[in-house]
This record gives sequence, C-alpha cells and structure tokens, in this order.
Amino acid sequence: MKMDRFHPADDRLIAVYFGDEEASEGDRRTVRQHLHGCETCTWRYTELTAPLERLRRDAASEADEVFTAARLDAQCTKILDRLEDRAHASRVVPFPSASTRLGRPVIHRLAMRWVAAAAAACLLLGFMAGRMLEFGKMRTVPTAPVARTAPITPVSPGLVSDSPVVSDSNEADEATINEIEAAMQTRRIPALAVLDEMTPHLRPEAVMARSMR
Amino acid sequence: MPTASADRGLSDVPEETLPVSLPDLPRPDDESRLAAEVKRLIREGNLPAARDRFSALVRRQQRRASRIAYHFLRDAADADEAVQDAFIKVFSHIDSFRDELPFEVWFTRILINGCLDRQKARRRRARWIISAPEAEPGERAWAESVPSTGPSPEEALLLRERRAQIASAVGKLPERQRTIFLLCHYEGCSSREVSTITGLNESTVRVHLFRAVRKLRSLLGGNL
Ligand SMILES: [Zn+2]
Repeated sequence: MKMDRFHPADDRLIAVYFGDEEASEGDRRTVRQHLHGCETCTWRYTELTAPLERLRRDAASEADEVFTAARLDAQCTKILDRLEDRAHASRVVPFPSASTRLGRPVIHRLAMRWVAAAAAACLLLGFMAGRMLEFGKMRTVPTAPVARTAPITPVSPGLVSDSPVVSDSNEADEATINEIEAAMQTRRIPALAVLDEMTPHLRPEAVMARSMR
Repeated sequence: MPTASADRGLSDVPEETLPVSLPDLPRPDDESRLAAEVKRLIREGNLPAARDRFSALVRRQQRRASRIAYHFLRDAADADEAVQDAFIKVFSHIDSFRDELPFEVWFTRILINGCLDRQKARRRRARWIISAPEAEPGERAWAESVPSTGPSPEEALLLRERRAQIASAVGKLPERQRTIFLLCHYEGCSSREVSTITGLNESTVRVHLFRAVRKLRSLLGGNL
C-alpha cells in the first residue's frame, strides 16, 4: 500500500499536535491529510496526544485549585501594597544615595563588625576580671582538702535543688550558650556562609536583641 | 543544532537582551497596550494612575503567572512570592519594556528567571538541610507538595497519586526540557514564543520539547 510508506513518525504527529511552526504548511497539510485517510495513524495520533491533553487539563485545574479567586485577590493586593511601600520609601528617604548604594547587607555587615568588636572587648574584660578574682581567691583562701575528702553522697536523678550536679550542668549550659553567642558574633566564616543564609532572620534578630539589652 | 545562545543558562539571559531580529509575534494585545500606558504614566510622573493601570495588568496576567510559577516550584507560597516579585520587577523596569514585543512574552521571561533562581536557591538549601537519597531535592519538592483535593477520599487519593507521579516525572526532566515543556504544553506557548522567552533558538526549543515528551512517556508509561 502506498500510504504505509508514508506513515509519519511519532515526532511528526506530536509536532502537528503542538502546532509546529517550522514545518512548512505543505508538510503539515500532508500529515493532516494522511491522518484523515489512515486509521492506523489516527489511532496512533490519539494514543499519543490524548494523555498529553489530559495532562494539560489536570495541570491547569491543579494550579487553579491552589490559586483560588480569593488568593489571587490577596496576591494583587500584596503587589499593590508593595508598590505603595516602595513609592512611600522613596518619598520619605530621598537623601542617602550612599546608603542606598550600600544597601542593607552592607549596613548589616558594618553593624555586625561593631557588635563583634564590642563582644570581643566584653569577653576580654570578662576574662581579665575572672582571672583577677581567681588570683584573689588563690591568695586569700587556701586549698580546701575537706572538699576533696568529703564523702560522696549519691544524688537522686530527680533532684532539682541546689545540688552541685545541677550547678555544674548550669555552668556547662552557660558555657555552651556563651560559645554559641561568641560564634554568632564573630564575622562570617566562609564555610558557614551557607548556614548563615539558611537562617537569615535568626542572626540579625539575636544580635539586635542583645544590642538592645 | 544548538547555537551559542542555546547553550546559555536561562537565568543568565538578561531580560533586555533579546534576539536582534524579533520574530513575527502577535502584535499589540491588551496587555501590551496596558504596559505601554503604565510606562507612559510613570514617565509623566503620574504614579497613582500608573499603579492603577498596573493593577489591571496584574489582574489580567496573574492567573496564568501563578499557574506557571506553581508548576515550576510546586509550592503555593513560593509560587505566590515569585509572582509578586515578577510583577514588582516589571513595574520597576517597565522603562525597558519594548512596545514591539508582546508584554506576555517579556513578563514570562522575568517570571521564569525568578522561578529558576528560587529553584536553585532551594536546591542549595536542601543540600545543607538534609540529604535525600531517594531523589534529587528539586524532585522531592515537586513530588511532595501536591495539594489534596477531590470529591471523595478515594478519588482524592487517586488524583493525588497521579499528580504526584506526574510531578515527579516532570521534576526529573532536565531544567531546560522542563521549562520548555511547561511553557509549550501547559501554557500553550508556540515554539517561537518560547524561543523569545528563553533565548534558545526555535529548533532547539522543538528538540527539547520532543525529548521531554518522550522522556515523560517512558517515565509515566500508562499514566501518560
Ligand atoms: Zn498512516
């Protein structure tokens, strides 16, 4: 049969479905004419394109279920509010072209440097004060062998009074928190930059809270 | 045959850098006229009127934009933000809108670049948060965020499963194939329009589209 030699390949059938514009009008007409006359290809065309058509319909309805009319209204309002905010911001703060160029990240970095420097100074002062106190203690209070030889009394796990165990754990917690805070105050470490990006709000907020104290 | 422009990443293509000879795309539609009006009003310094006209433009394009962003990102909140950002960007850069180009094409280009940037950022975050041995992070996000809707629980379950399968399969397509498939098939863009949106040449668009369809058929089998 003459027609069998010209069964168009799947890609050509799909091209017809997608309204391929590269194929010449003549070529498209040939394929369409063939489709009208060839049951095999018509069946194949339907087999190829019906699921695609269903896929398209499903996709549209799925997105529309998420983006309801109410949600689209809210979206439009948010867009207009954001435009209004931008216009307002540009009216209220017309002057600082330099700070505009710097933008928030740079300002933030500068602030972070200040906080880091202040924290380092505090740590140094604290450390020195601690050493001085320790030195004072060492001079006035001799070592207490009593404490070492005192009998060890078992502590029940539920105890929450001022037992030494709890006190130690508090100290350990405090030390950990100090370490975390110190780490947060240090300048960005390249290896942790990605983690910083993951918690963009935590760092500035923590620093702000501390600086307000 | 991929050309130099075909090898560029979609996100690397600046909105203003368009092919030198513009294809014969459909001429001024309502959206393009509105965009030109917004541009004129901003130039005249009439911002309230510009915003008013812009809201009409948003209304006309937001459903289509939200569909595109949702199919790209598979997360309603993320898609919502991507659409908002794209419109804000459009308003801020309306001066670079060229009247001879359909607004829809220009806008879609901005939207898609934003979606791709978000996907990249998400993948980068996912690499640090959790390792996903069963799938690529992008695929996980695609497959898992399928909304639960449907008339009965059984039908809802079936629908959800089918959507998850399709989302997972589409998520497995390489970025370029996925972009082209979503635009050509879900949004009914012609290969010429997709060529202008993506900066790829038309034959490359078609090749990627056919590859995408072939791959989806092999991934989905009876479900496609
Ligand atoms: Zn045939």
